[in-house]
Amino acid sequence: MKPAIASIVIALCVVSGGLAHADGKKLVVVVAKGSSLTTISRGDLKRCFTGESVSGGGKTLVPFNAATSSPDRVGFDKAVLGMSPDEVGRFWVDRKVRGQSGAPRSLPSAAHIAKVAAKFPGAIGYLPEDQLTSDIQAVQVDGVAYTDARYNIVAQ
Amino acid sequence: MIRATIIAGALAAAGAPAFAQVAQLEHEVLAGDPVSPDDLAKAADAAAEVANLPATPEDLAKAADAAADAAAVPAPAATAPATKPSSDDIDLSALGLDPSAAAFDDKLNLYGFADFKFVKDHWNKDVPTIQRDTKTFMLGNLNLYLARHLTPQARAFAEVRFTFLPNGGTDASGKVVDTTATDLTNFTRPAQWGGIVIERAYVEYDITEYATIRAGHWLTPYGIWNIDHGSPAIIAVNRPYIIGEQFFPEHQTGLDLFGSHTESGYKLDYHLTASNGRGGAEAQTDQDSKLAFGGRLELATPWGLRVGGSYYRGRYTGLATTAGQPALTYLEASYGGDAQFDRGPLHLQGEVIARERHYEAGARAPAAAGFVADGRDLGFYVLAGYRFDQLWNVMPFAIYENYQPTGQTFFDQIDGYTVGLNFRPSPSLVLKAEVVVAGFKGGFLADAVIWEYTAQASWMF
Repeated sequence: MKPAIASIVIALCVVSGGLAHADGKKLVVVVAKGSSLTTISRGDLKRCFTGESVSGGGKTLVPFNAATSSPDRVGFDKAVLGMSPDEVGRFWVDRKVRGQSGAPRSLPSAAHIAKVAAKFPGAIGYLPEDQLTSDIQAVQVDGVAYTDARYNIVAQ
Repeated sequence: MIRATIIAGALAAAGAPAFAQVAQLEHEVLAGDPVSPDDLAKAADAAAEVANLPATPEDLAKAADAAADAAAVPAPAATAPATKPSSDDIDLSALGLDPSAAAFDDKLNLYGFADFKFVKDHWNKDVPTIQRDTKTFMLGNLNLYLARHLTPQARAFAEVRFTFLPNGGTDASGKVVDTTATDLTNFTRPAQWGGIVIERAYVEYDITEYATIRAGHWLTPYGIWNIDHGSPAIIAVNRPYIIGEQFFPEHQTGLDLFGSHTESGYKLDYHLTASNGRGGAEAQTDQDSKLAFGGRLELATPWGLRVGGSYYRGRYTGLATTAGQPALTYLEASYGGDAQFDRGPLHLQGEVIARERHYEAGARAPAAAGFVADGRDLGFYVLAGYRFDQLWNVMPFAIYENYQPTGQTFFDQIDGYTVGLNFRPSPSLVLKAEVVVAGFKGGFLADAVIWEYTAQASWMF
């Protein structure tokens, strides 16, 4: 009986290899192809996407977000910022009331993020792994590549 | 057996409802989480449900083919998916993004906040010159922010508060101000005009990643409350006495060098300030030509604790009421500590501040009997709140505060207790309701207790 169950589970894993994150696609942190930024700590990533100045690859990083309330945005905010959509909203409103910088610019699609990351010096964004293009490169987070099973920044 | 397994898997991948549990398990497996026997049992149950779903022979055959195709795809953990060429049909300029233009947002941003409240006061006894029971609506703030990047390293920022003041207030001589005037554009009907308060106006420049210089009129970087500044970002309605009484000046005009450094998740922030200090016309002129200096250090830890300390030393010099007469002047030093802790929905914060004042001979402020003595004001508050994710994200909160001024003829000490609710139905809209009970000790208000009921709506636009 047990081998049968194991076979089912394995089959499911194999079958849905490409669908593994159908409701939770891995989100790859990306910068322009050729950038010397190949890895970033989760702490720096959080600082970068919460309005602080962070350098990487010899440039000040300019973050770009996925569209508000999109699965990519919700997943990234939860995994990297540790905040729910409501908490993120309050965080940015409070910052603006204090006179601090606002949220990174949101782009309407992963294709826009790919294009911006490729074209703008210092731009950093995130997109689903199946949206990677040839002119951007993936950045490891805490030394973990998105192809690693331990990578846990996923869309919600 | 193998074919049966593939068919079951293919059906699941086709979106059968029971697949949800399996998908969840699968997600955990791929994420590297340990799989418990219970999880396996759930998966088995789910798979069994899948197997019981009705299916035609054609469906099963298609599913088997799909599964076979899928099985040929290498596992994602082993190989990165192939990338595709960049899309040329994405028009970044339509979004105002032009790679050949400035790599920063140079648009003028206009936004702000406002608040409106209802206040009902009740004193436990008759106090001369104070009405025992009052209730009123009031529009508190209408603040407009203007912000713009000038270069990638330089920013300009201003905040102005539109106010109905000075109407209804008292001027320096104690006379009530009435700004009623006839409106020539409206058949000379009466209109009350107001004014504006320049809360902030400065330019700042990033010298390095760790140092930024700010020049202009800015909020004094001390504590927590003064930085939070605006009603939408502040949990309670009413400021603690140590903030409202400005032990530290709320604003200063001068230079603020600040920056931060992060190491291993610990962030150290600093501020060094030089300004005109407090004075009768502090934003336009330093009445005594003596600069005030201050600073702040704050350490933020990775586990949600922030602790800070602030210092300010300067000379206050007022405006001479008559030319040639000496103006009120004193040397003041303020110092304080603050701590804030955020862990999930739990929020704790507190500040303790002291201010020492030393008057010049012949330039003391008058008091009810004689003149104000040198002395030290002291006070603190602690606030605890817990944010729920329901009932408009309600946060019940409680505050205790203690305020011990010197040279105050009205009272020697205040103990204040506040309980309230802070609702945030949306990030930009905040509704608050609170009750403050403040007891006075000593002086003119000895044994007086005020009960204040306040409801406030504040919003950002």
